[in-house]
Amino acid sequence: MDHAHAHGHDHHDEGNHFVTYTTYIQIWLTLCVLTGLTVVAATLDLGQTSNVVLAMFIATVKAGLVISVFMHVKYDWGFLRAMMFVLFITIAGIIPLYLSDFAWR
Amino acid sequence: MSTTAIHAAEHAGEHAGHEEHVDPVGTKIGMWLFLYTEVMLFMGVFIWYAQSVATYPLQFHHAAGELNTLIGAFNTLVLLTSSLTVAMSITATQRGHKKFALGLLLFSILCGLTFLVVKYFEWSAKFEHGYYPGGEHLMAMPVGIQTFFGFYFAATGLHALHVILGLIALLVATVMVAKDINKPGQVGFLENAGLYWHLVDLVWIYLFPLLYLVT
Repeated sequence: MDHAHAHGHDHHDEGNHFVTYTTYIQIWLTLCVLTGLTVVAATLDLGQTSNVVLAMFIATVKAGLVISVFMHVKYDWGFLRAMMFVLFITIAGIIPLYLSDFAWR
Repeated sequence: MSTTAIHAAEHAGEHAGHEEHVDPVGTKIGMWLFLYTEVMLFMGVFIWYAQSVATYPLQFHHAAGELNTLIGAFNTLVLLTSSLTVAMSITATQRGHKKFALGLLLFSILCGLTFLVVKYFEWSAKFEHGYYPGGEHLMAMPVGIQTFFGFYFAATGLHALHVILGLIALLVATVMVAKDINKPGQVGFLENAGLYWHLVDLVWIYLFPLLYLVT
């Protein structure tokens, strides 16, 4: 993984770094385990809101793994990561704004 | 400038782009900007869900129980596996392992088709039982149940449409790898098709618990 990371820094052409098969398979196994975990977590009776929040938390961990490794953002150059940051800020801004409008309507 | 002249100029530009200039950075930024618009589209869908589940918590709880968790989990694993093989196919192409890359891509396409076939049977079962928008059985149910199934069909339908588009992109990428248009060190189209496929996977990662696990 470190090897691939170093490559990512050496080349601005992102086509030139190799992420190893092993890294991908490890991430895939983690994603499968998290899928199982989210199914099991749904059987716990925490109250609907807590259950949904927990499921969304696990989904976000999974999404983070897919985005950073499968979609190579972890190995990409800084500009692209800055773009991702702008996207997250946008989402993190819009969803609570909308939900607060709904809650106090 | 006449339309034909613009067309000719565009054509010349395209031609020059293929022959002399490759811009992997620009290509990738362009793809990500497109993916952001997709994220915004699906964010609207998720906000719709948040409002609906807050309005009809109990009815969503009952309606989600009508869906088969096992089938949903199976389809989740199918998509995760296809994401793995798509990601691996990029490494394989970069290493020059063309046959392995092609095998991985064909397997990914097979996974995508499996997902759609499972979805087809799932939808068919719901239709047979009258659980479809405007269906006899569903119209007799409380409005919260109708909302849930309205969301179910709209969200999974929109997602399935993206699966179909992603499959077409993967098919094109497979042909490009097979014909050596995607060479090692220059895998622009394959990488972008892969990014699109991962986005399809990401949307499902959120849809699966929201639809199948709010019971």
